[in-house]
Amino acid sequence: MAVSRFWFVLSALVVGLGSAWAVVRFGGEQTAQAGAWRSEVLAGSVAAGPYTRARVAVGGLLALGPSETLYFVAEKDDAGRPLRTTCSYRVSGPVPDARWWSVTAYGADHFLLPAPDHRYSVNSAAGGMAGGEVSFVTGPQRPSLQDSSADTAAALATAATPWLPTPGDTGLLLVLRLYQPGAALRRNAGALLPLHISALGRCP
Amino acid sequence: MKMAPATARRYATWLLLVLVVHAVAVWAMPRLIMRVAMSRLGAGAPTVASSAAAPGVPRANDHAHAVYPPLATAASRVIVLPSPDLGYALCLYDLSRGHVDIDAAPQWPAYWSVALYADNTDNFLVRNDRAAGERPVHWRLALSRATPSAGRELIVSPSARGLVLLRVLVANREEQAAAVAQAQRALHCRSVG
Repeated sequence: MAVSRFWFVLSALVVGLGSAWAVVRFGGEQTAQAGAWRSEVLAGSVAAGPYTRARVAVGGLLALGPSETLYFVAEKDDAGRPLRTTCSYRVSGPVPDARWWSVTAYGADHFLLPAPDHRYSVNSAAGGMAGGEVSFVTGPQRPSLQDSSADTAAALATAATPWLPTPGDTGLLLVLRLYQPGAALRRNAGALLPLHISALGRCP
Repeated sequence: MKMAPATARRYATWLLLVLVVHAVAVWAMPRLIMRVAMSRLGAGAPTVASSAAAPGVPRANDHAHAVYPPLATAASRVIVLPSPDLGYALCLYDLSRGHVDIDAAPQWPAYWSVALYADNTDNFLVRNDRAAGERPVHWRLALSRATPSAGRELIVSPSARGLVLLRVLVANREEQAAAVAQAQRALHCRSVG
């Protein structure tokens, strides 16, 4: 009887904790999708429900509320393939409607990659725009014009295309932050005109 | 096929137990993570003690103290997804033994903001540089509306413990290093009463 009660309680604990972990890991009450980018719309907000609050605590503690900052996360490229630090990508699209934006590269552990010269992000203050468009390249090495890939040559057609280094061999997470987003985005984060993420050349 | 009442009751009890465990886990997760993060962030308090000789820098005490972490690098492992473009300064507060006065007026040419977080991770107030032009950050943080404000803006915290976070936007890490350090030290937290 004691053994049966033990399994009764243990199985309830395992299923209860496991389902909580699964919902926090894969669920969320209100997410917005824009291309490859996903946003927890209520991150940091007092209107956040218990699942969003738990998700943000696990994946992005100390977020600001959506009227101040919108956070978008990309874990896959536009073709749906998981991002890797060993691959090169071109990130391009319209300049987001916000006072300030940045795209930061993180490893699968959600911490910064050991990039040379502290080049962890591309942002509106430090450049990354060409002709009213965001356009930069990520990858383990700065792409050169010697690369045979036609894609790479196209990405470098604008000479000052910034490079966001992604050293190491791990999953890659790109986080787009929009500080003081425009009114339309504050109302509907899904209205973001997405930055396209396309693989450059072969991915090893 | 009919289930015996005792078996049905047993299934119902099991399901109820699962739901309770699930709900408690989801409720507790952000609070536990926040508690761990606050204790790890608070471990930076010696930074305050060593910099307390600088004019205008508050000395750490039991109730509230300011910490000025260096700009995030690949070695920063306390908080996930650290922003490399922001300089931070923070205070942990505990209002159970009195209210806390908070001031922040960094002389900074770009975006900055001061945000207040409750112990469940909610960001219950934020004021940025533009809004602070109209309403400067001279706050008295308390648990009750009845707290005398002493001419300050009275802010009621939803929890006794929480965190104050100053962010300043850094366009160029190398060139602005000294200026960022000065702007970080524009956050002052003092426990009163």
